[in-house]
Amino acid sequence: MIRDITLGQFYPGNSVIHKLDPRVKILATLLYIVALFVVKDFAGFIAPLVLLEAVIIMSKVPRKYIWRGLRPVLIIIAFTLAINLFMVRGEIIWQLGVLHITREGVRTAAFMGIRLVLLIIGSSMLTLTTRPIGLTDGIEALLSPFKKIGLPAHELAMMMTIALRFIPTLLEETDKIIKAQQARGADFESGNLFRRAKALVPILVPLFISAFRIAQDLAMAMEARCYGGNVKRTRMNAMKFARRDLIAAILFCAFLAIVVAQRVLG
Amino acid sequence: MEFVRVEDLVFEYMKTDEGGAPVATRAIDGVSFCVEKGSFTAVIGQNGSGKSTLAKNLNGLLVPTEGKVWIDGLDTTQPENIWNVRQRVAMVFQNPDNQIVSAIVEDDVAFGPENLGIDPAEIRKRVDAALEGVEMGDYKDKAPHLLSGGQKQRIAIAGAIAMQPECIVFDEPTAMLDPRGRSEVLKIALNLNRKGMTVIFITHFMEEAACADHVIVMDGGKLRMEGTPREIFAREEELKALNLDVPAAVQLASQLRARGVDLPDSILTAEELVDALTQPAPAEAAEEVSS
Amino acid sequence: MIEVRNLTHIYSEGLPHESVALDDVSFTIADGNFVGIIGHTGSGKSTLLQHLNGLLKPSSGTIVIDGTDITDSHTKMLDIRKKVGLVFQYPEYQLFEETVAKDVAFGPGNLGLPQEEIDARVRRSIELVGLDYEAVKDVSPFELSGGQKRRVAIAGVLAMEPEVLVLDEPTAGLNPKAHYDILDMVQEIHEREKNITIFVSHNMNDIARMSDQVLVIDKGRLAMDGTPQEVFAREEELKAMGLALPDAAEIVSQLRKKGMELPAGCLSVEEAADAIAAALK
Repeated sequence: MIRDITLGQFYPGNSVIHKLDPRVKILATLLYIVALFVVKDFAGFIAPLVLLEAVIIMSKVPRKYIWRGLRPVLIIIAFTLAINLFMVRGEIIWQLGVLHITREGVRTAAFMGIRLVLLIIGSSMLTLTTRPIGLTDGIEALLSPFKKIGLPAHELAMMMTIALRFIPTLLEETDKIIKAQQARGADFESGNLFRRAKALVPILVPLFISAFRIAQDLAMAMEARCYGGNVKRTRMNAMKFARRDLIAAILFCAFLAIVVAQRVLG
Repeated sequence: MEFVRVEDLVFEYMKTDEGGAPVATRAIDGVSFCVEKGSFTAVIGQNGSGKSTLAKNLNGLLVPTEGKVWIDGLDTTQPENIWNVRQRVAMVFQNPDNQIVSAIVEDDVAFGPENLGIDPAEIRKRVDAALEGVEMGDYKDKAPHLLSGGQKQRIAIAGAIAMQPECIVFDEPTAMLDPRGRSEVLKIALNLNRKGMTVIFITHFMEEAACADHVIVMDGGKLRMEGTPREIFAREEELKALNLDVPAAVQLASQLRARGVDLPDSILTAEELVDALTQPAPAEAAEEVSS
Repeated sequence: MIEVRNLTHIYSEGLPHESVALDDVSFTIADGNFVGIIGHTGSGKSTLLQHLNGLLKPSSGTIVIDGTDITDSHTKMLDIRKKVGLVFQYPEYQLFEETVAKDVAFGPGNLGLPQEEIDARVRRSIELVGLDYEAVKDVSPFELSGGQKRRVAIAGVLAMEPEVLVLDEPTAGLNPKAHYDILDMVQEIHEREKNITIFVSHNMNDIARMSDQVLVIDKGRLAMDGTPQEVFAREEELKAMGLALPDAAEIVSQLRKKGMELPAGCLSVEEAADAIAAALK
C-alpha cells in the first residue's frame, strides 16, 4: 500500500540523535554525502558504514522501518547497477548477444551500489530522526545568511513543511484516482510508450485539480490562523545548540578527517 | 452582549462570463444579524446559498463589498483590525485534510500561536491543553495523514482553540465525516460553547442545527429565517421549499398531529417526543385522541 | 446473481504489519435486488466493493457473477468492468475531460466500442442521470454545480452499461435536497434497468427506505445479512458495533422500552406514525 512509503517520514522518538540540533544534523548529512563521494575504494566505505551503523543504533529507529524506506528507490538502485554492469568497458567475463559484463563493470556496479545505499539510508536517517518542523527550521536558519542577497529562506522552509505534510495525502489521492479510472476501464499497463503516456492524462488532470484545491483551502486555513500577520513569529520548539551538539560536531569532524586521510594515504 | 454584528452585508466576487469578460456575482445580498457572546448559532442553507461565504466574512478572510461586519466592536473592513479579528474568531473548515499545515500533530496545533508571536513556553502549555481538550493528547506525535477524518477535524479544532479565540466559526465541519466523527465534532463544539466560547456552526445536518440556541437560514445569498430551533423547525413547509429538511423527531411529531395525536408544538428532539408521548398517563392521552 | 464465497483479503500479507481487511465473507445477492451495505469506516466495506469489480484480488475465496468467476485470473479485466460498474466516493473528483460528453465517453471508449455505440450510450446515460443532453454535452464538467458534477461522474460509469451498479456513499457531502435527488435518481435507474444495485451509506434512514437486502460489515466480517426489518430488529448487536437505527425506529424502540405497545419493524417515519397513532387509540 502507498501508506507503507517511509521515505521522508519522521519516526517519533527520544534518542540522542532525535535531540540533536537540526542545524547540526543537516550540515552533518550534507558533509556525509560529500564524504561518500570523496571515497575512492571499497576500504573507504568502512568509516561511513561504521558511522551510519552507530547513528542507526543510537537513534533506536527499527531497521525494518529504514529498509522499508529504501523500497521505493529500489528501481533507481537497480537502474544504476544495470547501467554500470553493462556499460563499463574492460575484461569481458560474461556475454549474451550485445550484452556483456566486464570485471570492471561488476566492480563499478558494486561500488556505486554501496555508495547509493549508504547515501539514501544516511539521508533518510536525517528525516527519520528530525521532525519536519525542525528540518525546515534548520534549513531556514542555515539559509538565513543568504536572506541579505534576497533568498526567501522562510518561504522556502514553509514550502518544504507543506510538501512533507501533503506528500502522503497526494499519494493517497493518486491511488484513489487510479482506481476510479481503472473502474472506468482505463488501462495503464499495455500499449506503446505514447499510448501509456496518453493514459496518464485521466490521472494527472484530476490530480492537478486536487492539488490546486488543496493549495486554495490551505492558503485560506493558514490565513485564518494569522499566518503572515506577525513578523515576529515564534517557535514552540526553538532550536538550541547544546553540549551534545558540540560533541556530535567534534565526533563528526573526526569522521571527516578519517575519510580524507584514507583517501590521501590509502 | 453582542459579539458579531453583520449590517447589510453584500459580498460579490468576480467571475468570467462565456466571452471572458468579468461579471460581478452576488454571493451574499443584504444580510443583517447579530450573534450574542457565548451563544451557539447554527447556519443552514443548501449548497450555494452563501453560508460558506458568510463564514469567511466573519473573520476577515473575505471583506464586505458593501455593508459592515463588526467583531467585538472591530470593523473588518479596516485593514489594521484584520489580525485582531482573526485572533478573536478562529475557523474550522470542511475538509479535514486541507487545513492541517504540519506533518506532526502538535506542531500543527502550535502553528496559530506561533504566528501570533507567543512565548514558546506558553505555546507548549496551550498546545497540550488544546489537545487534551479535544481528547487527542495521545496523538501529539502522530502524522495527521494516519488519523481518521474525525480525528483530523479534532486536531483542526485544537489548532483553533490554541489561538484562544472568543469565537469559533465551523464551516460545515461534519460534511465529510462518518456518523462517529460527526458526533465527536458536535460534542466538542457544544462543550466549548458550555465553557463560554461563542460558536457559529454551519451545517446541512438538521439534527446538528437543532442543538443550537439560534438558527439562521440562508438561501440565494439572503437571510430567509432566523429564530430558535423550535421556531425554525416548526416551519416545515417553508424549509422544504428552501430544499432543507427538519429533524426526524419533528417530522414524526407533525405526522402524529396529522393523525390526530395531541402533541405540543415545541417538540424538537427524540427525547422530547418520547417524553411527550409517554409522560401523560397513556389512558388520558388515548382518551384525548378518541374523543 | 452475485455469489461471494469465503472472501478473505489480507493487506501486506506476510509482513509484520499485515492486516485482515476481509475475513471469510460469504453472501448471495439475487437478481434485481437493491442492496445496502453498512459498517464503520475501516470495517472493510471499501475493500469489499473493490473486490466486486476486480480492483483488488482476494487472498482467498471467489466471487461469481452470473456464472463468471471474476476472481479467476483468466477472466479478462474488461469483462469484469463490463459486468460491474463502481462509483467511488466523491466521484466528481475523477472528471478530467474538456466536455461532459467526452468525459462520459471515456468508459465506453475503453471498452473498444464503435463510435456510434459510444455516442448513443453517452446520450442515454446523461439522460439517465437526469441531465439535459443537449444543454450539457459541450459544457466543461468543471463549470457545473457540485450535484451536477456528481451526476456526470455517475453517468460515466452507467455508460459502460454494467449489469451490477455499485455506489460508495453516493450522497456524501450533499445537502438534504441534493441528497434525496441523487437517491431518487439511483432508485429510478434501478427500476428502469432492473439491475443489481449495491450502495454503501452511513444514513440508516436511506438504507431502511431503499434496500431489499442489508449487509452489515464489522471488523472485516459479515455480521448480518437480511431484510431491513430483520437487520434493524437486532438493535443491541448493531449498537454494540457502533451503528445506529433509522431515526424513526430509534424513537419507536425508546417508546417500547417505556412500555408503549408497538409492533416491531417500523422503520420509516410514516410507519412509526401509523403504529404510534394506532397504539394511542
